[in-house]
Amino acid sequence: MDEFAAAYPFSSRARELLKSVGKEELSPQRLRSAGERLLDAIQGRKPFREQSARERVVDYVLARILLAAIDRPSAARKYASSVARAALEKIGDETIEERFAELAKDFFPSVQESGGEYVVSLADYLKNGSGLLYAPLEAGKVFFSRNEIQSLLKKAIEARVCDLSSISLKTLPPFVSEVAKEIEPRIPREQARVAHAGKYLDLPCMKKILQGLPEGKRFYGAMALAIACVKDGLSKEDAVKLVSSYAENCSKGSSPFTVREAQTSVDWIYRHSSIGFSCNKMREQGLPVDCAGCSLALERRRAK
Amino acid sequence: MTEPLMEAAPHDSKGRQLVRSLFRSYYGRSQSFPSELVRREFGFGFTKKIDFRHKAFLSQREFAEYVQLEVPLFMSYSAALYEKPAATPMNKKGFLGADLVFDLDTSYEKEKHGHNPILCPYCLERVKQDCIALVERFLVQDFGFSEKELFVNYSGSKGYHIHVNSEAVRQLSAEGRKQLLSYITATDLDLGRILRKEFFAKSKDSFVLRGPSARARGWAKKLFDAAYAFVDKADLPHFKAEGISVQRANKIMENKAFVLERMTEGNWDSLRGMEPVWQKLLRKAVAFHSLEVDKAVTFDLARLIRLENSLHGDTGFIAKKVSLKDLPDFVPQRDALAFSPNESHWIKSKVTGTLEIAEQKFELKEGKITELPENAVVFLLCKQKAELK
Repeated sequence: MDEFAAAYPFSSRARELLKSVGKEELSPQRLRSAGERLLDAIQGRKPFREQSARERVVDYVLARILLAAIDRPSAARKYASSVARAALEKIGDETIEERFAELAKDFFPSVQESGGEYVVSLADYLKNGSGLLYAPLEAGKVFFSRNEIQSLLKKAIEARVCDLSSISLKTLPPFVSEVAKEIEPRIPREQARVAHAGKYLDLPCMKKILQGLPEGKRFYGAMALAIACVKDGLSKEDAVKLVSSYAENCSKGSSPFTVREAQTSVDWIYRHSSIGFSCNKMREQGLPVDCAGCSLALERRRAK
Repeated sequence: MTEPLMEAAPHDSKGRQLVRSLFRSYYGRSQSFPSELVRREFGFGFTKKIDFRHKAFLSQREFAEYVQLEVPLFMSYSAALYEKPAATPMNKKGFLGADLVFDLDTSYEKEKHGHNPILCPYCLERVKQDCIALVERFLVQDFGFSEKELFVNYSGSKGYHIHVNSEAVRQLSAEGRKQLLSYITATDLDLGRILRKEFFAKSKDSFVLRGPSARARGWAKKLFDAAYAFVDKADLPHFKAEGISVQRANKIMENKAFVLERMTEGNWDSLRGMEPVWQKLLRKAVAFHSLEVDKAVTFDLARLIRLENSLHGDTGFIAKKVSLKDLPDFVPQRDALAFSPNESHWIKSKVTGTLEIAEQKFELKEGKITELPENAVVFLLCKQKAELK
């Protein structure tokens, strides 16, 4: 098997080889083992045993299938980050310049190196890069040092690995979702950072919402969080950070709940900051309301 | 064919009939087609800019016949190319790519000038200057498009559309287009990332102020050039105008060569306590270089844009395609007129003021019946500022 493709299974060169990965590879047992590698990658552990090149490629394919079935963007992001980091470490270890050049060309076909400076066309940069506002741009070309292009490449790898839109779950056998259900609880939840949680953000239901909600409840979840942020006196900036982090924890469903949508909820609530916090409304919208052990519920009962 | 969408205003059906017959005669003698017409979605307006869309044509001839028959007041087409342009909803069209289009129509009404609410030559000129700046400073200089890949279209009303006709950008995502917009408008530019403190010890004063050097590129270079030119050329009144104290200004001028030399190397700390001065100069440079663009036109891939050389139903002006060479001398109220200067009609004005059109000035008085040349009449009728007598 092509060593390059095995080392970088997300590359275009690997795509050809991946075609040879047939449906026979997709057994519950093989999927579980790929799930273990996925957990290793997410938690930053090295694989327990050495893997063959073919195993690595198949693992990559199966890990992405599992991630699509698990449907938790933060997990996909962690996996992508781990894959990208490993790929670039490999390049660093081997100091094989041609490998770096080939990998860079895969994402930025126009990339050229001259005197230690890397040049990428604007069109290529816009496909995979971000932050053009600060980029050293001149006459349709963006210029980078070795470190800068490496970090740009890392982001581009992450974006490619993270993009699971090409995986159609409908065509996969039912055991895929069963294995996904086994693996999912073992993936650590990303804790949304609360700048200074107060009375409302400390409520058990808010903590539950922060871990993400399924499709159909995501919007109201964002609204409830935004109201809690206003009531607890968080700055709008902190509220946006918190609700964005919630959006990333939400399940993707048929279409993802974007950070932008979440921010719109914050904008709206901060414009209508007198809006009240209502457990009943949350219940009506099917949000996870847990009155047992809730300080607010207790307070309200006492007031009655 | 019936005309369910052509609602003649009851109070001035004569005026609308005249406008419609003149529009028809214009399209009889002048028709323009977008590139790759069969892949474009069209939208037409009879009472507003777009009354309906999702229309497609199999040939230029079919399109021309439709326009001749229906005589829409507004014609727009998609910047995007589709496999099936007439299909609905949007996701069934089969997106193939989209031209990159920028729309400039900033309102300069609030800028100090004798604003003419009927038709303001000053505002039109200011937007044209923005258009030239966008082409020169951003599209050519920074983004590297060649002039051959660009064409400018006067919108027929207050602004300009700049089209980038390049294969390289057709596949650009909405996100990529937003990055270009963010670069042009610079609304999110954080000067703290351009001018930053490099600490060399734990004390809060132990830092060197680092800024862009002469070798910088992009916005950093624009800001370096602005600050460098100011320090190089400014005299005491200039410094004072920027709110810089006489004492500090003198210090800068005395050490000018040294300050400039250090700046060239990216050291903006040759004189202590200069940070507020730099911040002020850089903010001014950002305001000078950045441009206001109607963002949705650029990033919304489903957007329809005015067809070049069609008539604008709010003015009767031609949405004229202007070459980059002719752009500096282009005057819409003179060069985008569609009708005969020799024909005239009687109108009753609904406004009082001056109309400057075709290098002539017409004084209008509310309720007064006046004879005006056809272009002025069509403009006032379209703007609903007069009725035909």
